[in-house]
Amino acid sequence: MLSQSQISHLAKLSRLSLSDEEFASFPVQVDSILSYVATLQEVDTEGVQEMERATEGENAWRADDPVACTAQTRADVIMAFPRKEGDLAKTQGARGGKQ
Amino acid sequence: MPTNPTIISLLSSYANKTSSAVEVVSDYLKQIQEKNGELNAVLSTREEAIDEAGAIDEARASGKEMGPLAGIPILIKDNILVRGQKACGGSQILENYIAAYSATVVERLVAAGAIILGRTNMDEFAMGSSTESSHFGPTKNPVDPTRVPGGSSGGSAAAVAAGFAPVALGSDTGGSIRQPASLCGIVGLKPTYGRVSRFGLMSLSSSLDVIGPMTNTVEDAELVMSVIEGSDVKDATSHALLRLEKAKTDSDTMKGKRIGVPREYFIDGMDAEVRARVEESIDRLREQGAIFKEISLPMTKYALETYYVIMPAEASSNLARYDGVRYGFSATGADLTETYSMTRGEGFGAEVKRRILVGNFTLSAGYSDAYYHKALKVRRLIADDFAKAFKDVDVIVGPTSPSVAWKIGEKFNDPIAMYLSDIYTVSANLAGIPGLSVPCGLAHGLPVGLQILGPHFGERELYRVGNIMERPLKK
Repeated sequence: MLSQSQISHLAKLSRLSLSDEEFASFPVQVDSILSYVATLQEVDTEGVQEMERATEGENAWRADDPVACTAQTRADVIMAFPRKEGDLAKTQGARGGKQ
Repeated sequence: MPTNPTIISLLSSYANKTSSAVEVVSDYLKQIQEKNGELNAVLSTREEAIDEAGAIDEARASGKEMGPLAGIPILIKDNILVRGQKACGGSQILENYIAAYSATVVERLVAAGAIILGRTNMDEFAMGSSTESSHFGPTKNPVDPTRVPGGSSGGSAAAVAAGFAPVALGSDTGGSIRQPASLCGIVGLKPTYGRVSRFGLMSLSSSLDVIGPMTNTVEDAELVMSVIEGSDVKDATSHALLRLEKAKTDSDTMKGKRIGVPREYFIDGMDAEVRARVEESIDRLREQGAIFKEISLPMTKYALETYYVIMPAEASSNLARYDGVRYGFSATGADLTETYSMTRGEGFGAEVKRRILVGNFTLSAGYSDAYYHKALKVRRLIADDFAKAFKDVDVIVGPTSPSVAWKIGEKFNDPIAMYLSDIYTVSANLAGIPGLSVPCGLAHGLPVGLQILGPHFGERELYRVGNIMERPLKK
């Protein structure tokens, strides 16, 4: 069974803060899901190629040319920023800075 | 069974001038206003719809050539973008998000003259089988409002069954179109993976997701598909199609049609009345000349486990984009990492968090071989089972869901019990094949769906079998 510290570590990796209630219920629930899917171990997959997509497709290449969105889409995207400065999304520093 | 107007009947009423798009759109909006309070199937409606209907009526009156869905109102699942409208994916984290562009399917529908009526409720980010995990509250089943409509496209299914629109779009990652269609007594099509562009659909599990129609009849579903399907430069996994010839009514015979019934589908614990309805459907198709063959899909028993590794793994990656920086709900922490964690911790519901944790576990170093890579190999074996079966049969039939609609709250805190309701639907997503759910009667007074599966891009066969299945119900 997953320990609370394992859930805590997974939550940290997943960038998820959990409530006390979730910390109490998730070890059992996540463990029940992992135990359920563990039956896959009994399948013999020796030499089987992994299947990553549902239908076989060919590479869909296009010219590497930028395609501009409309001025309206640009304005809508900017409007959706939770915090902004001018036309830029504003965020805290990735290395511990406040801005 | 619902006797709501079909798209085909509305189009002919427009052609005969017995009704106008403005009247039809107004009627549907009135239905929603009167009955949605109890059902919570529709999250919002568009005020512009009546004006747009007026423009369609004017264009028709002036003799302009009309699109194939001119004046047909359609509801859109809350995870498909309509520019200028809210699109929340049933989640608090996108509670006030307004779409900056439209999904390709929406652009195609509008170009065909369809009128976007509003958006429908869904399980948060399509993670669920009951539409109870929506941040906006559960949707009720119109057949019995004490019961769930299924999910995750439960709002779309309930809306069509309640007569709020003749068609709604859903998305299907593991059964999210077919299972609610079955539980609400309507038609739902999960197309072949790649047949319909995913551009503008919020990604849950990118190798499994597909958009499809939910309608009152198979013919309506086929018509909507003809508008939304086909390749799209904005989705590299979409496929170019040769336009399929429409199934002709005179070729709607089952004579010589080879239909497979997987012995693994009649599992212990399957509702006896559901089983009886499915067996009666088989008899009905046999009477029409179909040849039945028992087939075996031995890897089916691992489909649900495979699905519940691959889907959370892909979802944990896809949902990393909800970080509170570019759009949606945003909390403020002491630093960026805390801002991410608080935004996601407050913005996501319990099932989404569980799946992110499971996904990140199965992808983590030390466990990815045993879980994620193992599941991708079993997925291949499941797809091989279908490929082998379709050498001997044209389509496969079975139940869509092992049970009828259950009571609201009954399975909400038991993830595995909830997951088991997808047992017949997930394998089609893993293999990428199309699946159609059509009503096949009632069990315990509640709708039962027959699932018809076909080979890749074999939708036409599904339409034909589905059409036959509808005939006795129309009597």
